[in-house]
Amino acid sequence: MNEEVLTILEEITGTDEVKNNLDIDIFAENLLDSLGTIQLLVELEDHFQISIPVSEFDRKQWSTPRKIIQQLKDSQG
Amino acid sequence: MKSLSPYETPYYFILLIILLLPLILRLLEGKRSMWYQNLLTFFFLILSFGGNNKSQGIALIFYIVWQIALVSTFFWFNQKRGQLFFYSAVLLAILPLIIVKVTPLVTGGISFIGFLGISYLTFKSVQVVMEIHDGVIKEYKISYFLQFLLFFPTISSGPIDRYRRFVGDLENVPERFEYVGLLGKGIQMIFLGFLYKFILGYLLGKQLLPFVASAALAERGFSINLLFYMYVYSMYLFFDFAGYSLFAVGTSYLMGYATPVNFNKPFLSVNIKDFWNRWHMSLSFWFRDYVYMRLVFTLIKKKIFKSRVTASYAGYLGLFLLMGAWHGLTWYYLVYGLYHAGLIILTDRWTRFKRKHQAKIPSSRWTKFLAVGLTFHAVCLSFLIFSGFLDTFFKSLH
Amino acid sequence: MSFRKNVVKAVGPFLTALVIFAILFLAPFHFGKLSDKKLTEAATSMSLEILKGDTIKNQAVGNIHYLPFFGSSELTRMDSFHPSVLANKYHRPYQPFLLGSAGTQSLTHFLSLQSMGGAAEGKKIVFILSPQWFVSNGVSRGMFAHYYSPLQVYQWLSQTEKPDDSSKYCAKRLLQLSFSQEEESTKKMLVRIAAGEPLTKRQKFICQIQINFLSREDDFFSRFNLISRKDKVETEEKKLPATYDLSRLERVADQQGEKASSDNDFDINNHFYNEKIHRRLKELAGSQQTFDYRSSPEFSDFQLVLDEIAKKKMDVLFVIPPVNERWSNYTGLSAPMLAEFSAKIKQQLTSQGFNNVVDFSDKGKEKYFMEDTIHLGWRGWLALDQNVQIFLEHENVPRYRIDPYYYSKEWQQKKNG
Repeated sequence: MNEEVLTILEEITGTDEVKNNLDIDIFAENLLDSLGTIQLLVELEDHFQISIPVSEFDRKQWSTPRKIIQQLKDSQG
Repeated sequence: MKSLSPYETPYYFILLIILLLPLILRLLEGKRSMWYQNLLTFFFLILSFGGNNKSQGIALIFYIVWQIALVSTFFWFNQKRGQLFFYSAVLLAILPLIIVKVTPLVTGGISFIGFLGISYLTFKSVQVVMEIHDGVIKEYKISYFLQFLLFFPTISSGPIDRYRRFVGDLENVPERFEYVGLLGKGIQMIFLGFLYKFILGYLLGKQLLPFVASAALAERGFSINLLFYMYVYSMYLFFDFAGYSLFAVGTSYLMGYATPVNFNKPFLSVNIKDFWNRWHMSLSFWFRDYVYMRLVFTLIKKKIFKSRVTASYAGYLGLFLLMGAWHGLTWYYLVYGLYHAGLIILTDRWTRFKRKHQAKIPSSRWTKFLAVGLTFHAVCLSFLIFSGFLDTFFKSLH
Repeated sequence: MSFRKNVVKAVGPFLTALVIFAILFLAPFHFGKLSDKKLTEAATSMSLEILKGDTIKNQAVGNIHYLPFFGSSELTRMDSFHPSVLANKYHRPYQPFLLGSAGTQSLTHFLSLQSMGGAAEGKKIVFILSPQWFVSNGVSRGMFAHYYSPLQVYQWLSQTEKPDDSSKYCAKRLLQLSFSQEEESTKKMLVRIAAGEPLTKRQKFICQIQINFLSREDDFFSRFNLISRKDKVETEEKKLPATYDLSRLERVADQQGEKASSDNDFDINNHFYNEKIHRRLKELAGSQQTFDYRSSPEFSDFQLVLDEIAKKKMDVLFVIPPVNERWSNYTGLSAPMLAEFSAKIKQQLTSQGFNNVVDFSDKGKEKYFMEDTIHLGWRGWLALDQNVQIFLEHENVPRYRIDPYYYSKEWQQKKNG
């Protein structure tokens, strides 16, 4: 699953930095804009058959690849 | 009795400081006197919506009853109802605002159900409906929702807070040391607000603006004076509104609530996207989270457009047209919306182009300087449209 | 850091500001007299702060060296023959202190006069009135609001012990012209005075507090720089001959007038013509046929001025300027109407003992008497200067007989004085 999430992130952000540094702040580094965020949500929904509502998306809790993986595990858990 | 609009007269501020004092003293002991805060809210609502504003006060009461009934019903019956239920709830929450906005077009008069701040309360209410639907607001109390809607420092013109954030502050009284920090910042904000609104805003809006306006009209055609009007109006708009927002946020701080700020040096933005992250932030974030994100999400999910980028442009168009219409149903507000949608789409195209050709495009202190200057002028032009002055201007030509 | 220290850090600046504010605006002390240099600059400034305030204008009025000129927009027409320029050039023993600007009319001047208190007692002044003030509704609300001085109104209110005809009339006018920015409490006071009742103790107390605060504010801000036309005066002075010689000055006035009004056939200053008239020339033809200055509340507003002048036993030279005849012929402004206006205003003046009246109303055809349509210029200023010299030479003790009839609607409306 980790690998899958990181691949999605890499595709959307267009950089492999997200794979190399799991603690990079994707918002502060301007890697993910509003559209990117939506794409991420859509992709995650399609891949993991879970539904993440837009308002759930608190930028602070989803700011790094590691946090994103954690959030996903929580919502699947 | 004459009613007192929030943050307009010295008298209001003197009252505010004196009446906040008991609350501040309790907060310095790490406690919050909730009954006193409620009394204060009641008093300031009477002050702004009583006396010769009584009809507005009555409209406010009806509006509040309407929203509480709506949101409570929605919360209790939300489970396992379909999309239709959700969409009707949103529509019903916006309905009073729509009536208020459309009435002037139909009857030429002002709707009797309107009152100062109705749009800001609507933003709050719609937000709660959407988050209940998303299942992120799991606990809902009528008393909390009422506190949230009627929080008097921000009732007339924002900033637009978020329910979950607000309830956090409501339930957790700031610890003493933390509160002293808020207190200091709050006082500082209010005084900066004085500088912005009552000195700079006054000089620009009341002294300079009429002067440049008549100079621009006297030319009976396009002239440099119109340009001056644009600059003066833009600066006035910022200092007046940012000053007001500082009062609202500062007062919230004094009460131990960290209401989000509204402005972050907007005229230093490097592009239009950056600008909307710094200008009237609570409004633009609201539109981002509750209009744009949801609209584009649906468009992409349902694959309405082939390209996701196109879907996002449709989202921008929806967002800014709605924002324009919200300001008022006149040609210049709608053009203002369209213009900003156009700018942001153009910006997006440019950033995509830049990313592809990074090596060839120079980047230095000077290009950044150029970017800030360009953005500033694009924004000022939008405010010239927004001001409605062009309407007067074109009419004066005939 | 301790909690206490944090609190001091948070509220300290606020408390300090409060203390400084209290000292500046509430403590009973004055900042002392203004320098002569400051007054000289203020004399030609005509800024809003001076007109609305007390500190600068009252000090000037109390100073024998200054000769106050009350008027309106003509005072801003500063050519080489403007009173300020002539006085400075030929080292006259007085300097004009200009009190007025575009849109200051009788009511504004009345409030300003009464706020001068004892400083104006027995003072000589020049008062230029304009026929254009006397339109059917009198002063416009916007203009009045622009020059509205809360300080001067509070001073007037606090001095009105037993409302007489003049104060009742004034209160009614202020209520008529009242605008939204005015304080609710002020309106209540005006309503009482208009009804002939004195202010309550509480209202007097409010007045006193406001006067205290506003005059301190005025005192404080009068220390700062203001607009001065000193440079303009100095440039204009250079165009005049070194010694005063009337026939030579008249020649210079004609030359300047001719040169400055070369663009048009109306003898109107080119700048004014191009800015205000040129593009609308066709529209303006015949546009003033229905103008009538014979009935207006302004006559009673003007009576307030006369009343105040009588109270202060001031000696006044009144000036009635003409209208540029070439221009009034073009716009259709009625000459008989103008003549009747000046007859009516002269009746109001002389019947009450105001005998120093210079009536220029027949000078409209004289070349270069007017700088533009309705404002005195070159020759006109020079003619005024002659009259001012005579006025200043004569010591006379005025005897005024104030007649409350001039506050009546009947007089305001009466067309044949």
